[in-house]
Amino acid sequence: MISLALLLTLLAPSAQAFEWGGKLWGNSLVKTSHPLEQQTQHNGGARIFGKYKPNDSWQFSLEALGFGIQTPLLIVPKKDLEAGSAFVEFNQLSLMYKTESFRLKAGRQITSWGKSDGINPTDFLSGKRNLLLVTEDSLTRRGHTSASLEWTPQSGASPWSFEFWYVHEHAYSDVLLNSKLTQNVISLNEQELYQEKEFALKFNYLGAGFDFDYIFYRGVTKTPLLTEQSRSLLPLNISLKPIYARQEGHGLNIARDFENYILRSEIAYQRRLDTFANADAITNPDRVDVVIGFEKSVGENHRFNIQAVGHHYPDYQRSPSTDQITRSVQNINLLLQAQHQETRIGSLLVYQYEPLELNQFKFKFSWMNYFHYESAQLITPQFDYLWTENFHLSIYALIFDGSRNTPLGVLKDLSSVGFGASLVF
Amino acid sequence: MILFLLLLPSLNLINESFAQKWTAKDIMAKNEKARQTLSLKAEGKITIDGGTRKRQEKTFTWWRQIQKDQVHFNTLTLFHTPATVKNQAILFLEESGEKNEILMWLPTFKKTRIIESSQQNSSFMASDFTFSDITALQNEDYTFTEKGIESCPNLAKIKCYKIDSALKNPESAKRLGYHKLILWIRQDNSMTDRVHYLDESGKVFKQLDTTGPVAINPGKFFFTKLEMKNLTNAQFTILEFSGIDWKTPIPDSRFYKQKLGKDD
Repeated sequence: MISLALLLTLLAPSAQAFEWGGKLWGNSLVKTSHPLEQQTQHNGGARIFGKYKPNDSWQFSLEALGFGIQTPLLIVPKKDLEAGSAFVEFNQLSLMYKTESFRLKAGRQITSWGKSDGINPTDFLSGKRNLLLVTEDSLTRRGHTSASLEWTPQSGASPWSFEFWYVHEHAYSDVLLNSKLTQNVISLNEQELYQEKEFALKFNYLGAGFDFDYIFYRGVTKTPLLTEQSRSLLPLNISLKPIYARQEGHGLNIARDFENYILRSEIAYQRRLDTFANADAITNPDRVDVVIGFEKSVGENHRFNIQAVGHHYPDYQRSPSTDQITRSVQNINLLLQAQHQETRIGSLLVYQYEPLELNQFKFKFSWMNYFHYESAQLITPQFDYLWTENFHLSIYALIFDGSRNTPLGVLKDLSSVGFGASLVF
Repeated sequence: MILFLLLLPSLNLINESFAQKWTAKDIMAKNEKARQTLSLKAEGKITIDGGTRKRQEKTFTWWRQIQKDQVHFNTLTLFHTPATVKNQAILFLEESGEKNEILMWLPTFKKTRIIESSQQNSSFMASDFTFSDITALQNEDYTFTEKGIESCPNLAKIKCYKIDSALKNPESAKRLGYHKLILWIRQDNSMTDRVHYLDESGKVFKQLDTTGPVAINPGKFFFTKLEMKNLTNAQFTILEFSGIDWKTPIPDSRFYKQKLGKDD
């Protein structure tokens, strides 16, 4: 009680110190892969945020996301989404104290590490709300319960800053399995979250027209491995449990202004500390990810982003089980963890047309393409109509294509056209 | 850059005799000297209208402070409305040799973005002002020529010097978005009354008009309203300031790059 009283004293109320806002959205998607089945998906919800800042040192932040979703064709842990389910999640629920040099923040937090657009291999602490088939990163990014301490020398004037992160409850990415492919013989059990804690150190240098980060991280994979928990043969049913393997990583992010374009690049090396013979399909899942991108504006309205993307397992060796069912589980993980090839090379092209006026269409075209060995791609064209400053209508498509032996190609059945509306307030 | 040229010419000129013949360089030197002590915070509103556009408004808080070199400025703009740009921040750090830095905090993405230098002639938040319009080039970057004395375009009872301002470095035109400026400098207080922006062919394509200068301490002025007209399409942007506070010191940390977005 004394602590609470002290806290309330520190956070003496003031109307001007409070601000809030949010967003309402709704999307309806129609599958294009099986038009005769007339499959649809719907999602909608609200994102509300608030900040209470009684003085320059203290701040309380809240960001809640409530959403409903109805997604046939998928099986996921916890929920059967055939008929529809509702979720409430906190992206932020944190208390911050800062001085000129230090910034201490604890609670539910969102991190967004990395310089590239779309693909961020150094974004070690974040998970993805893959259930939501939307194109907006701020809705899909999932936070963690953590404490962070940031120090910027010279009372905040130094170009250097140092961050330490302790993550008590890590973020995770949703696992989506195509129930058509698994033919109702696979079921997912509840995942065991938060068995492991995470730590990270981040060094940042912010120079003139140039900045870079180095990150050391020790934690868990954000996309879980599926391990066999039980099986029955008549009828055939395999029960899987998602688990999170420990890993550590090193990341380097660079951004530089070359006057006419910006270089944005990320390199990550991740070393797995746990391997599971009955789940991992390769003996050594250590991996290197590289993204090198160039961003350029043309005129007032056009923006291009071209990224080269590479993923490589330096010590790649398949280790298929002799047991057929275990081998099937390994193959599912092979796709979930993107371990199906020793080296993947691809590109991400993004073009945006953003008119300055209202009552105009905005257009964004994104094309993720892996072309080495087995090709696969995700194409997402999107038109937004700016009715007012705050109200947008959109039409977009998610087009997955390529070999079903690839993480993108296996999602072919999710290819859809979406219609949406959003109100920001 | 010209916006800032307008903001704070010194009132010291009021007491000096304009009867004597000032050269264009003298007039602009006094103008530049006057604005070198600026440090202020203000609430701003941008209204975008005209042509075929639908009216748009944006509100923001604006901090501006001269750097230790007493030549260049730092400017931070923090947007409040509309909701789509709430808490978006733009930090301008002026540097020598036209190497200004622009960093943008995007709260939706939780990221700070460097804006490429070549984009300084692009629109500032969809307005008719460009990024470079609100940073300050130094007088040494221009060749000034006096083109006579005439009634001020916005205040006929006051006389204005008409100053022709040509860029010394033609390469700057690409970044700034204009080749030449014509300024009308008021004789009574040396404030700028109107600016014409000229393209390579010498055609005026933008016009900036100022009204409502208020006196700030000590003996300085600050414009409360600036209107930029795009003469090619009849669009215009009005930039208004209120709640001007030049007395409360602004900590240097307000403009540190590392602080950008740290409240989100």
